[in-house]
Amino acid sequence: MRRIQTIAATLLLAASYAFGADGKSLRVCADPYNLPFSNQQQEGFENKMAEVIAKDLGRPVSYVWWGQRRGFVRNTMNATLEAGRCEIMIGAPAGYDLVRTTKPYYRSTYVFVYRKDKGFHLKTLDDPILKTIRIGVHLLGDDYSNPPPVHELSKRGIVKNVVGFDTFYSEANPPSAIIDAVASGKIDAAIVWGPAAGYFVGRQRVPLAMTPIPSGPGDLPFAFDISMGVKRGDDALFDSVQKALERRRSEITAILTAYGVPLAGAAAPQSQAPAAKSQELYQSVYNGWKTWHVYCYRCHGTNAVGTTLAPNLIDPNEKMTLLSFKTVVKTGSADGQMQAWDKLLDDKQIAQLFDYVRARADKVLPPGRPDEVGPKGGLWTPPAGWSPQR
Amino acid sequence: MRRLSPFLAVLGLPLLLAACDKAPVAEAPGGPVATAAKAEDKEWTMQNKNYASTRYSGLDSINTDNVKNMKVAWTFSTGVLRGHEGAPLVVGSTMYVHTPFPNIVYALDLSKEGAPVKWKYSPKQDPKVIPVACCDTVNRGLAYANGKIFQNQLDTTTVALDAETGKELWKVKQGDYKQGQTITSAPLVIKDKVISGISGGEFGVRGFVTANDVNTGKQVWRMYSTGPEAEVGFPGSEETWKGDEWKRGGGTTWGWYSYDPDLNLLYYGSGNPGSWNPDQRPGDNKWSMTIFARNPDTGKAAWAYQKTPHDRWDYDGINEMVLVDVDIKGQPRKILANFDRNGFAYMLDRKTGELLAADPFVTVNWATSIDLKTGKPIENPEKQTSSSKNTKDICPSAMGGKNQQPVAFSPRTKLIYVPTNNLCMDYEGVQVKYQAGQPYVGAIVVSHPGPGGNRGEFVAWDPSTNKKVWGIKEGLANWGGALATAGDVVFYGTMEGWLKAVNAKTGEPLWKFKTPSGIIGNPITYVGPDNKQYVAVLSGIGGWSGIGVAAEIGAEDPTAGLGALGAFGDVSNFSNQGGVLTVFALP
Repeated sequence: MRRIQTIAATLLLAASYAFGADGKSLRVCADPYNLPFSNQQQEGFENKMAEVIAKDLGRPVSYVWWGQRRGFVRNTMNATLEAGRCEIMIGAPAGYDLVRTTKPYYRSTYVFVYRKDKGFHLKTLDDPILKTIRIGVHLLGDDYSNPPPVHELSKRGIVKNVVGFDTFYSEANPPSAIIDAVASGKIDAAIVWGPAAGYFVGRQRVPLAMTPIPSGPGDLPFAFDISMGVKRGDDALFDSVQKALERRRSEITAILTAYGVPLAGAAAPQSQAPAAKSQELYQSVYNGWKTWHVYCYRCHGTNAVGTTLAPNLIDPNEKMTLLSFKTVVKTGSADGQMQAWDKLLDDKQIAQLFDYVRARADKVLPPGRPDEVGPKGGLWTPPAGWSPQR
Repeated sequence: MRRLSPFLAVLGLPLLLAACDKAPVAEAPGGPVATAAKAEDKEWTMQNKNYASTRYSGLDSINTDNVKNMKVAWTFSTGVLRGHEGAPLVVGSTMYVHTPFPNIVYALDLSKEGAPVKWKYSPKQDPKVIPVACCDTVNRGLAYANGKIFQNQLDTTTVALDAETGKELWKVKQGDYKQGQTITSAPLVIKDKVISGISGGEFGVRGFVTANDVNTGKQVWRMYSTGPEAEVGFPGSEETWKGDEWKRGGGTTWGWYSYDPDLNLLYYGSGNPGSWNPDQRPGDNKWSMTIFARNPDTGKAAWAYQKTPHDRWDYDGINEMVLVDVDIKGQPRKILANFDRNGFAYMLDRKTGELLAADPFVTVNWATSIDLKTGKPIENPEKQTSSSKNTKDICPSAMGGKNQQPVAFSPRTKLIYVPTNNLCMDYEGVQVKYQAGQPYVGAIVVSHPGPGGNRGEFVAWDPSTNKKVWGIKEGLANWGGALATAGDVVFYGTMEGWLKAVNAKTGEPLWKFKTPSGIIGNPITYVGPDNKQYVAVLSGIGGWSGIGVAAEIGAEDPTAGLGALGAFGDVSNFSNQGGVLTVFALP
């Protein structure tokens, strides 16, 4: 009996492999229950955009479904079995390093959502009323890391009156619950990522206000550029998606409007002065390379590839946020194997080191001197759309 | 001073005297300062053979006619696989072999077949000292005097051993590796004092030389390269530094030591100033990069001559001082010859420090010449490095026109045999902060082969004209020392592992043998208890040039190993790690 099952499974796999490899369908990685972004009924705006792009490429759409949380890319685009793999995700933060991101095609922001009859008008995180009202926020993923505005709320001492809403699969379309809670009066206001807020606000019978949250001085950014994410290494697909996005700009914008996505001003600020920004990034990576090859290479190896003394930092599993990178560099590792560098390196140098290591880890910077690994042995140019994601 | 060991007195002497009579060694005008007494040529009791550092032996049983028949007599594995610099010593019927870290000493009994181990000394050192060594965990050998073997260990311990038993007689710590201090150099015994240097120029260590009592280890004096006159034993340092930069100003003393008994002067060179980024240390940075002549009784300096003021290239000036008497411009002079890392061959009057000649012995473009009146280089502004740019194609490289590999001088040909490097570099300073025990390098350096592509050349140099007489190009750098003999054969090893014998007069190749690993050590010659002349050399790739193989670093990044991998990424194609003594004789 067992034997028969195995054979059946093998046949099934073969069949789906054949389907996946027909070279025709555009295989999209998407969340099956996450409106307004995507669902299996293909009602989300990302489903619509996938169709626009696929149409431009002259290919039908097929999906690999997976919950959009930690492990999403690993289990879809980079799945072990080729049959289970997809090649594009529609909504990826610009510079998201597990995929190759296109030029951003929209920019949105976190917003306040509250009933218009509440008698207050929320404009910034510094409004004193925020200390007294119940504020709903989303907790992201299963590790309870918080979205940036929540981080900034706690910086302002606003903690006790904050109510967390999870984004797991307790029910379909988890982003809707927080808006329902605002409408029903269970909470006084919510802080929500714009696209989710816009869609569900428009579906409530109670009039709700929706205002963008500006970042104060020293705050984390609340507005983000969103790109499409293409499987790393598939340059041909990347180029055609990039071109399709440019050609289909009006259709894309129409979809965003239809779904009520609040757009943040000045989308894609890169377009303002790409040369200056690229130059700044190059200089940071170059300075990081210098510092690396004076200090860090002794244990972490030249080109950050590691030695028997310390880990390879270009391994994707070793990727850190700038904050944790800074902490380890300044205070040393918990096991005492790495010393504290706070006396020798300042914050700026550590940030430059971070940029260098991230450029190596993202495989955008080849080994060697950054001033000699570019075209014709000249200066390296940071690829368009790449940023170290500090 | 030293008692003759029984076998020499009883067995060897008559035959050897007969053999040596053919070579007019001691009588040769312009011979080395230390008298080459015939009996002494049977042994090899100092790293560079004698106080004058000539690495010349009066032995001539092996000569230009018969060297082609030379065969391996026996071999010995040291059990250590890092770079083997320096040379074994032969005292009486015992050979003393040293190793890189962990700095083992073996006494081998030459009177028995196959030279079995008489005793083995294995010091215990903290392995944390390994990464503090700048350029491999090398050691340049032992010193011998009055029945004692002296050794400097990587963790800065100086130890005296009973030469008969290997028992520790005393030991002292010269520094603290946690502050970046290490020792790789060989000690030198002068009268009742053992002289030791210090390494750590890459850690901002302030260089010094120490004299310890040979019988007790008690420190007699210590003199620094930088700082106040009282601590340097010579004026003029402190005012050439900004603020208190001299406290971390380098000028370490990790090279060789020579001595002139008639003038009672000890000679050695001080190394690069710290850090390697010149922008951080305005001024001449005295007395880094300096030839010192000191009174070994008091440590006070008779004179000091700075070769590379305000170094911008890491031309670490520690190479050996060869004390020879030759005619310069028709006048007999007592000179000190120094083939510096910066590519110039300096000839000085060793009594006064007067600069007699300075000429490039390899491709040099950082300076056009040395002004003999002021002693200062005429620098090429295009090759002055800084932290604001990557200065390209500077010759020679930081690894030097010559590195630690000692030269030899033959009083018969009056030529100095110089193992040289043909390397250039790109150099970029980096602003660095000082923290005790942390690297204070402050530059990114990539070395690459110089014009012609050969990375080394073995050169015969005429000190009286300060000109090259002949040269033998080598594929890799010449990182091993030279040996000259009265048989008019000159020996040297290569990084591929060849030990080569060439004609001292013409450079004609006479013989070669490929040893198990690359040679960065120095060949010696001696007479065994069987009255035969032997030639011995340590092989074991490593050192700065061979660090890639020794420490198993790949060649993906040319800046690795302080820039060595740029020039020597391919060494592993020729030679693997090793640690073997190979001893040769005529059949």
